[in-house]
Amino acid sequence: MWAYLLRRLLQMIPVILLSSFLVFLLLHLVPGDPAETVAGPDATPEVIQAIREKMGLDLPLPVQYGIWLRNIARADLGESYLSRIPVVDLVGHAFPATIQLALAALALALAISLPLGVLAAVRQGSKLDLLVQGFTALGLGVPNFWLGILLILIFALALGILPPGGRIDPLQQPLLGLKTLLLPAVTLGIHISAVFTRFVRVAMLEVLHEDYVRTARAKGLQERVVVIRHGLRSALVPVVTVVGLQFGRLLGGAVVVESVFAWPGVGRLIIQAVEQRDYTVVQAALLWLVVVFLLINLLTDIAYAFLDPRIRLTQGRG
Amino acid sequence: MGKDEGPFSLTRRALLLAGAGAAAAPLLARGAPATAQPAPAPSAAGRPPKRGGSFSMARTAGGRDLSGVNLTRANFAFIRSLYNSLIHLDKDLNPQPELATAWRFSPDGLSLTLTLRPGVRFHSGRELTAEDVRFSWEFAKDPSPLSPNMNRLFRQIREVNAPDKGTVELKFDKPCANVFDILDTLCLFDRTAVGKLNSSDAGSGPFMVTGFTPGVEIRMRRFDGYWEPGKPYLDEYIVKTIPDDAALMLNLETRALDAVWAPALHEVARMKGAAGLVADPGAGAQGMFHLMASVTKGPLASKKVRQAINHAINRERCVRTALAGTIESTCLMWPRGSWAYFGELEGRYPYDLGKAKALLAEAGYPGGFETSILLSRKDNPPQFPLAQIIQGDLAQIGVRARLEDLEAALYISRMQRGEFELCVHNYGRVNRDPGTTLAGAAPLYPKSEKGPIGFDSADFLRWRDEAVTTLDREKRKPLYRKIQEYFLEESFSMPIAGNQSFWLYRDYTRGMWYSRESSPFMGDVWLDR
Repeated sequence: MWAYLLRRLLQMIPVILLSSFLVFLLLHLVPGDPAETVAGPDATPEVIQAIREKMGLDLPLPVQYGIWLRNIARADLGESYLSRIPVVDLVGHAFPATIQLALAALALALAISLPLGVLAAVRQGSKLDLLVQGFTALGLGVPNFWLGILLILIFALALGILPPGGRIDPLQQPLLGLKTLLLPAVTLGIHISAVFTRFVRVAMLEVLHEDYVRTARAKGLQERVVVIRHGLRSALVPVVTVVGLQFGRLLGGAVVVESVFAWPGVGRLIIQAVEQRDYTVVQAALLWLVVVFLLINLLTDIAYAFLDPRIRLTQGRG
Repeated sequence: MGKDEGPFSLTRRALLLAGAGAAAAPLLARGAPATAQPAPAPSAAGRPPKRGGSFSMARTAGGRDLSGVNLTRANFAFIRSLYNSLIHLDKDLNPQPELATAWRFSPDGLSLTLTLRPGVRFHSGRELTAEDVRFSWEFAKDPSPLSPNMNRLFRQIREVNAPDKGTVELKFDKPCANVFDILDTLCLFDRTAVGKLNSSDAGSGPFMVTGFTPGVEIRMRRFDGYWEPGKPYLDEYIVKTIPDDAALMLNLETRALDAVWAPALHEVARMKGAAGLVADPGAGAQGMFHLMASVTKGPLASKKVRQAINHAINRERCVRTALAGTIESTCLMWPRGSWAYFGELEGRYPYDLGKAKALLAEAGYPGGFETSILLSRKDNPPQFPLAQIIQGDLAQIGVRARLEDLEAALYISRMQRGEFELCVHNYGRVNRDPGTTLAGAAPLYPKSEKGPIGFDSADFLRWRDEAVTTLDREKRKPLYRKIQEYFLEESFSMPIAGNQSFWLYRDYTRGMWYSRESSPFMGDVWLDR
């Protein structure tokens, strides 16, 4: 197991290097000049050139890439072109907000999707199953921004029981922090729960028709034990894959929800940086996401082995 | 509804003295008398201001730094709360004392000596001296990410000297008619704190930064060492960024905010008259929406074609639909209220499709032609409906225009390089001295100064430069009239309407008044609740 982990971690290095190169190259190929953006629409060409030089953007691209890589090796992600704030501070501030929202949305989604998906599968064809399928269709079809605004209208404007946006750190003010988290988490969570519910339902339907499940019933086990211990555990393998992918997506930031709720997450940070051509922020944030995604993949693979003993992590077995 | 007088109005005696000086020498008329004193803050119905409270506002554009000379829309929300200038301008563009209490021009107009207010401290605790003024000017005039705009304006001052800690001497190569615009715009920095402008401010204003997350929030608390006794009244001022327009308004309506700045104009129209809210146009039109035409591209090289387009624009509909009826239309460079507004020229380009078609035919395009309109709704949302209306208007005379709606960075890049045929744009500072407008709007520079439109005129350059180096306003006016007539005749810049940013705030807010950029002087604001 440890050898497997070490091998996977070492394999990440070339992936990260290649990603850094691709991120750098693609960003610089996108039309638009950070110096022009910083200088603004009323700037003269001389001012733009002066700013370009001060930002180091007049250096050849390979030199700029080399400087950036060298700094990363020194654990220095550089400064934002625009604000001169260290990128690590900007990402460090945004990432906890994104993690918090992602975990809350995932937890909510799983809390909804697992029971609904299992029940819908167990009672396939019933009214409950139809209701669940209707819920998933609605959850997938309703746009995030519309749902977010609707929730603000109801809970913040009409009822006045929840704040309309912003983020309070729950570590500093737990109750207020949870209140600010609720609406954006629900907005995101409903959509994700629709996705998860469908997967759980389909996976359970497959598993419930397996021979070992029939055997478990034949042995006289309670239906609840059959469904959960024998059925759900096997059905979770593909679901874990989807959860991992979704978690990775959420860590990239939910831009629309972050905009509607003024949630200071990574998504907003990256979008603003792209719009303003703040290369250092975008490069560092994307590279950070690559690393996080690779780690999530690794955790997902480990989870497989935990859920299904037939899956071995080492090569040449199972 | 904005407070134009502020706390720094000249006394009556001072005005009479200034008037006497004005008869003898135009220069001296703009010198501050020695006895100028700040007036007490206005109260509501005779009640004295209440102290305390927190005031939170939001806008959609997020500030990226705390620089007082990064003159972008996002930073205007807090600039005058963190920083002071030597003077500030009233609604008639007359200078009022702020950190300078008196000033005097030399007889030849080539130098201006200002006396600093004693005892002013920065947020760091350091006393402000003339060296800080000199440093601030050096910082502002050199382009950098923290000082990226209006450098040309600050370079109109050749030199700043500090003969003693309480005296500042400005030197010019030529008389500088818009010097008070420069001084009103120049925020003063603590030269020892400017290295921390990414996390803290370097100002002397009524508030100081306690927390800053770029693009998210700026938290400020009262500066207890502020030079104006008894101020600020508020304990805290918070500036937030809410990127979504609908969410911005919901935050105001749910009372999570006390104010929003620059909401979408249709929201202003919706909320005008709403109970408990005040819609305040701030400093009025700060910019001008116009349609630029490249004079080097195809049919647009013909003046008659451009004049035809000018006649085809339905400005009333633009204002009614795209700008929610919040402002008047105009075909002139400066808005009503500016002393460079020549109202008798207003009817030069009435909406007249017959005339437009006739001009196109005279120019050799009776069937019209294909063209494109560059815009960016991300950079300035009203550009999109304006461009759509113009597109429809032009279609009626056979000009088939394709819209190119780009993200802000691309739009700025192409616009600055002149890579457009027609372009919806907004130039700023139209509520300042007309010399400042022309100095600050690079798109209105001629080709010889690398302006994007591509026009060139020795006459224009002569009028412009003579107007900004002539101190007598009555002698300047005819020069700006000539510039206005030239622009009307050539029609490469076709103004449509002013661009103003509204403040929507709760009606318990008192004392709101603004700089020329609608940056509020929060030191005078108090909450009557």
